[in-house]
Amino acid sequence: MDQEGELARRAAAGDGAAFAALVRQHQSKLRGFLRRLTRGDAALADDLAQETFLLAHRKLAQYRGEGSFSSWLLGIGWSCFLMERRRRKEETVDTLSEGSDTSLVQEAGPRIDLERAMARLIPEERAALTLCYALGHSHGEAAAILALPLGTLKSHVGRGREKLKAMLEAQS
Amino acid sequence: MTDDRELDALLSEPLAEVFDRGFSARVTARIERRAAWLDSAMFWAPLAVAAVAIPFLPVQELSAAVQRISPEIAGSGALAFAAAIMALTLSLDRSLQERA
Repeated sequence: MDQEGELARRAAAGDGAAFAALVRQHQSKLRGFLRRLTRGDAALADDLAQETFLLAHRKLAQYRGEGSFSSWLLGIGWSCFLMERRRRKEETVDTLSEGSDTSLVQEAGPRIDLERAMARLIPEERAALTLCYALGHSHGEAAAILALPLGTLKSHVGRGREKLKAMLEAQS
Repeated sequence: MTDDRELDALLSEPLAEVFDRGFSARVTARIERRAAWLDSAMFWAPLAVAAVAIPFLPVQELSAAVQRISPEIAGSGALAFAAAIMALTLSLDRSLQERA
């Protein structure tokens, strides 16, 4: 069992320090992923990240160590995001309002363009592209995280890329 | 900026680091609060149920039943034998513990 799996096993047995170590290790990746999904809404992303960790803590016994802990956590984060979206009956396509996210204005130019264009994709496309590119997961891993068939995941990646390309072309 | 390779490079840039700034501590504190709440619920819930149930207990019927079966229990040889074995076991256990 790798170090991550060992920490998860200890945390499931009630070791609070082991779970705290897992939170510290994974918080940046999870919060970054959720910020992308929430179109840069850092407060909402952090609320969802907290819910994700609480849910993960309750479900630790279900983690079998088959995939990486990170993938398992991102899957829970995605479920929390979907529940929130359902709760808010959020529209799936929206524009990122100007200056709504302070983290975006600190980024370099092309990155702002990308974030703005990303914000106009549907969440499934945002999630698929983020997992497969920025987080370096394979298509298979991303499909497992998002609980989608592999073909559907690939469609989201392809469509998302095409939309981004068109939007970035229009901006330049 | 619409070249496929450029788009791939842009998409592949790692997500910006999100600094902890007390986030992990807040998560851990929430988990500890929840655990403490569960512990106290596990302690108080049976007491609360008992407090609600006690006024509805059929006390008279219960005491009548105890009075009815007490002589039978007292006169039972099998129960007396079992009680003797239990007493012997307990005293043996205690003496072994004292020697240890």
